Amino acid sequence: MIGTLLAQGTPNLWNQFLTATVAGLVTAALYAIAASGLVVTYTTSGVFNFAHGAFGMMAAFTYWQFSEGWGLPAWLSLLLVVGVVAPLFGSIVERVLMRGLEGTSELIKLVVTVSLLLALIGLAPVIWDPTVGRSVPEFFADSAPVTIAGVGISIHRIIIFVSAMLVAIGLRLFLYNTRTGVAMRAVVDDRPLAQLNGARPGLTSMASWGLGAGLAALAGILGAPINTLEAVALTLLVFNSYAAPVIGRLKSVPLTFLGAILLGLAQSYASSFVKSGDSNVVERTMASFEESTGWTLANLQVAMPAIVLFVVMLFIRPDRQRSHSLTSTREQFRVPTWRVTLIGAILFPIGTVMMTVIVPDNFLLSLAGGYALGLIALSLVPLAGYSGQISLAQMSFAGIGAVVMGNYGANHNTIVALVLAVAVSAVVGALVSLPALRLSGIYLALLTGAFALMLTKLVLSQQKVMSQGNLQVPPLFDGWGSSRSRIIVSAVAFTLVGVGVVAVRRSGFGRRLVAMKDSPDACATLGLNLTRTNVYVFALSSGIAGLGGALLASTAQVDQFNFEVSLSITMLAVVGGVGLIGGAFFGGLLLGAFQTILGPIFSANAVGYFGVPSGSAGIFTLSVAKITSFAPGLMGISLGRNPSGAMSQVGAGFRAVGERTEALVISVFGVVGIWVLAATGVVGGWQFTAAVVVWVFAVAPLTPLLFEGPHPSQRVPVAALGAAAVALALVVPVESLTESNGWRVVMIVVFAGVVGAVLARVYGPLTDEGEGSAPSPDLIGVERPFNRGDLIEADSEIGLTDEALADYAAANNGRSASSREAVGAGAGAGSTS
Amino acid sequence: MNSASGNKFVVAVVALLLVAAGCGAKGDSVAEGGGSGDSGGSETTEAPAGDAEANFGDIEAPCGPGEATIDEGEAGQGTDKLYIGVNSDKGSDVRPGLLRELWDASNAYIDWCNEQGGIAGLQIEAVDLDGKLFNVPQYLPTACNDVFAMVGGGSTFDDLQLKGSPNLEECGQLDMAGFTVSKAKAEATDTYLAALPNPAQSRPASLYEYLAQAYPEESGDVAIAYGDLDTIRFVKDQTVAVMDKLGAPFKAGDEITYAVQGQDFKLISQSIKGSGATMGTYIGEPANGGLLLNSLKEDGVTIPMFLEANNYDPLLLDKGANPAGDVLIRLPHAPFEEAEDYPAMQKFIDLMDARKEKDDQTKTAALGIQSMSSWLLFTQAATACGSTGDKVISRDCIREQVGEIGEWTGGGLHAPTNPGENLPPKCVIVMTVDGDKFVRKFPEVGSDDATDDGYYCPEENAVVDIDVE
Repeated sequence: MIGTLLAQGTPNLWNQFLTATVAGLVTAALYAIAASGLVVTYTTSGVFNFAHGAFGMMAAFTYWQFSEGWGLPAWLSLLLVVGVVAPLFGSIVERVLMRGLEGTSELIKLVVTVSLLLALIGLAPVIWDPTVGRSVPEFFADSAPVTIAGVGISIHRIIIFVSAMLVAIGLRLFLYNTRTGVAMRAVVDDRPLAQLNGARPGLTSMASWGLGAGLAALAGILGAPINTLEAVALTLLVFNSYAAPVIGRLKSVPLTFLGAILLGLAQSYASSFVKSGDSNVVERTMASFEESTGWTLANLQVAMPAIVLFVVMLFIRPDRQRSHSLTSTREQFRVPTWRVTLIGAILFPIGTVMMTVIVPDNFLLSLAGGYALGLIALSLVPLAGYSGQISLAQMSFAGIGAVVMGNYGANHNTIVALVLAVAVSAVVGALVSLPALRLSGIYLALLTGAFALMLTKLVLSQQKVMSQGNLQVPPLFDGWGSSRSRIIVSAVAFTLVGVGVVAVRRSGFGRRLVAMKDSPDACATLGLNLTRTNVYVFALSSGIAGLGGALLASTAQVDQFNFEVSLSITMLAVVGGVGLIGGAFFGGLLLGAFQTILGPIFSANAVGYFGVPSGSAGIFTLSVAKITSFAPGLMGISLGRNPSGAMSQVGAGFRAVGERTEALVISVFGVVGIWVLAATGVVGGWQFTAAVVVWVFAVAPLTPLLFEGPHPSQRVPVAALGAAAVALALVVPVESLTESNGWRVVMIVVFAGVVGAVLARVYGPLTDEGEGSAPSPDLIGVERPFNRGDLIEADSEIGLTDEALADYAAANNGRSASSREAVGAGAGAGSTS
Repeated sequence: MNSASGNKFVVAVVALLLVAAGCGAKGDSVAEGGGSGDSGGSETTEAPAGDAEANFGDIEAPCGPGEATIDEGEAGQGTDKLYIGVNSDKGSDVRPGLLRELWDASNAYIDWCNEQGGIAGLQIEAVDLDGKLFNVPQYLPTACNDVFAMVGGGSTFDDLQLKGSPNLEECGQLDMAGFTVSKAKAEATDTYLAALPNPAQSRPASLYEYLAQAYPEESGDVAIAYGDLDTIRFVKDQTVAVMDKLGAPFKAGDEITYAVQGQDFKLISQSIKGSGATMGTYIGEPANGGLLLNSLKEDGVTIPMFLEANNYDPLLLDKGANPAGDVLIRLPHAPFEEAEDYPAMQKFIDLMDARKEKDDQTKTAALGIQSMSSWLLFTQAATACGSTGDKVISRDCIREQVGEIGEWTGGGLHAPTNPGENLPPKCVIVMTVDGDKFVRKFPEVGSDDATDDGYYCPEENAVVDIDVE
């Protein structure tokens, strides 16, 4: 084979190989700088910084601001950004965001850095107007390039190369020969031990984030001149290097450099050899392969970072997880009761239908997408929420579902096609999970991420799969193709799957998942088959995602299934509350409809602005539409403070309503009443909005107080005031008060807030507030004392029936009461935490 | 901030906004797109007759007073003005400002035209249809229901305009696009009319005629670098098909994909060099094109590179200035650099400058020329409808009027095209990069190769019919 290859044109191929090698090494140098920064951060703080690429991108822009914008000399700008601004930024991020993540799961840590990544990508264009062309010149741009083995290497590239060397040597010296460096390594090896010996892990972590950010900045600034100064492109340039540190198991700097070289070379060889043509055997083979199968490998070079990452992950031996008994993570999700589940299952589709009646056509499409994305986010609930596994490939499974539905459903029964879509997605998900079984946490995230990238680049973008990058997906039933029908189909599907997921959670399988999340080692010790459990939950999750994908759009586009979208959906599901059905819906809606609906409402006219509308003087203004580009990221960043997600907070407010039937009925009738007024055209859109917001957020949560609570005398005034507030909201013509949609929304929110506060004040203090005995400290993770319901549930979990207890009581002659308490509490702790 | 209340606030705001979207949206203020095109207001200034200000190149006073009315069933938001949708991708996250030159050129024209009295007396209002790259389906309901027509815009994924429900074909909307990308769009001639047609299977090939003369040897092995996007790949397929169809001296060589984002072009220039190609073409965005030219220079690759018209953009020069080999750009319109010789071009620049006074982000770029030519064509057809017979402007009337126009130059903005028969321009100006400037390479003005307008119009193979999937 090689003989033939060489015979085909020895000098040509040899030269080609040589030049590809040199070119690959030059590329590798940049990867090496970027990747080493990632390693420094990870080793010391245990957080894999997905935002590393965004750090580099921000640094490149800052460098541009200093050197080109403000005219500082290049060397000074470089020094300022790499030596001062970036390390400061990194340290602040560590201190403010990452420090608060201790005690959260790896999922939360990951999502916070992903959010930071997305927020920075959203923020950069707000600061640096992307429509203005910017470019950073190469260092010593006027000097002639040096030619090595036929590869022209500019002085700038040589600087990159030398920088990589210096970084390698410098890091080695730093980590082994300085106090701080040794302290960093000590913290990695054993944080508590280091602490006992007088090390200060906090400071060390800050130092490592500073150093990591500095290296990201160096990579970004050196990379910017050979790329476009544009937020996403620059982020991806650094992002491409993420495969390198994995070779060093995220810890070894020398191995990371090796990884970078491997990556650079693989990309270079793919670029120069894997293409169809007729100048050598490889090219001719490629050409005939493409000719006969219709599949192309043209994207191999582009997909190479993902392929390297994936392959490495298959062979790498991850660090042995240090065994621990019970992980006491801070995020907690209630197990939904059947009552609440069924109420939701009835109200959700009905509410959806009501909504579709009054929403204007322009927004229906976004909502249809949002509903289907909610379904895809729901797929993360059993996987990430219950079993604690991280997947960054949910949109890929959705893509598989869409492709199956689109191709098979086009000329077969669509119901069969839908079942097939779910089945194929589930099988692929199970297959992906097989190599993932040895991995967990960040490795699993990277593996699924690599899978997502490969799938879009190598499979979904094939002309055979999605010609011209899109695909017609038939609706579930003939004539159900309109956005309105698709919303309803998605809502019903979401309801059914949601009920199913609740059933899973309440089953033995669900408890096994939660147990696996708490401690895989303990589960394995107890004889739980981790492999099978893992495969099942992956299959379940990807099947749901496939269902969501099949319902996602009438015209599916490749870009809807990108890795970036998978990142977003995972982030937003976690923001919503990944252990909760409602959280998933919230996340999906946020992704599908947040920007597309807010955009038009706050379109770039003056009324959509907060701040001083600028004429031409360049007064800084921030349009609301722009805020939407990075607001979801900001929500994700705040997860450190509330890792259970937004919905678990909102849910708390409404739970009381769900538990009191009369209150529930009143709340629902209130919404229906307001809706009828809007649907029949009695009130306008803004009045409807105001009334619904006041009702749902200010009045309804208080309705249980009308039937129980400490101040019976105040019930009438509260009810009257609440009704008056809603009536006021229905009557006041919000749209005539101001031209600005922004201010209208602010007015409504403020009004609702005031109403809520006033009502609460009128009612008076709730006596049981702030009392309630605190749980015993040995039950960490239990948020409230056990009540009788918990005990009964716990008893039945371990197979104790009332008869058994009665027998037990009889046998123990009256000692039963106290014993039973103890048994119940013990079992309760196990299942709740 | 207290995190719990913070999160609640966020949730409340989001919930509120979703509801507001549903309902507030039925109020009037949402429907008004960017709202920046409403400069003229209701007052109609008298058009100064016979004034140079009112003329556009060789078109005399395209806009002005009149008594036209709009077909009520097609008027969209109202018959008081011509509500016209202008699509672009300017709100795209990955490429902010993408195609905003179409939006800007349209508004520049609208500002001016409204000042002259509008189209046969009707003021124009632009409705912003921002597809944000991937959200084309989201603007289709507005495009179908709220505007009389779409003029002067363009979307990168314009095939999506024709898929799903509603779509432009289904609702019978008229789109006089500034430019088209996909094959599906280019072939949907029942909804779409172009001032500069870009049919998928009938390609302008005058540039190749020039290449065959000027670079007969080099044309024998043409390496093709193209981006990993489907729309770009389609242009690559067209390019290969044109070369196959033309035959000798052309021969398509290696095809090399690059990542449109985050690509290190060192690898691409090395692949071109390694392929032994004697000529190259680059298909993609100008910023990446500049990076490739720079990398080729570093590697000492001096082969001639030919580029499509979209690379006639200052972004190419950012990194691609002083290229090593000849850079040849197909230009179907007058060059900005020679505006003093082309009155229509000067007018275009003047209108864009005036627009820049209002919106300092205004982008003046080559696609804007096509957009403005579409507006001129629309104006001419609509004026003809609005000043004859019952003076009603309808979509069918406009289609009919355009069908009767055999040759169209947008007042001299570009080489003659045939919008009625959907035929692309047969003539070309070849530009090159000299230092950090674009300059005319061919034909020399006044030479035998040049027409009076300075274009090169070969007698054979000016347009090549191909068959690409």
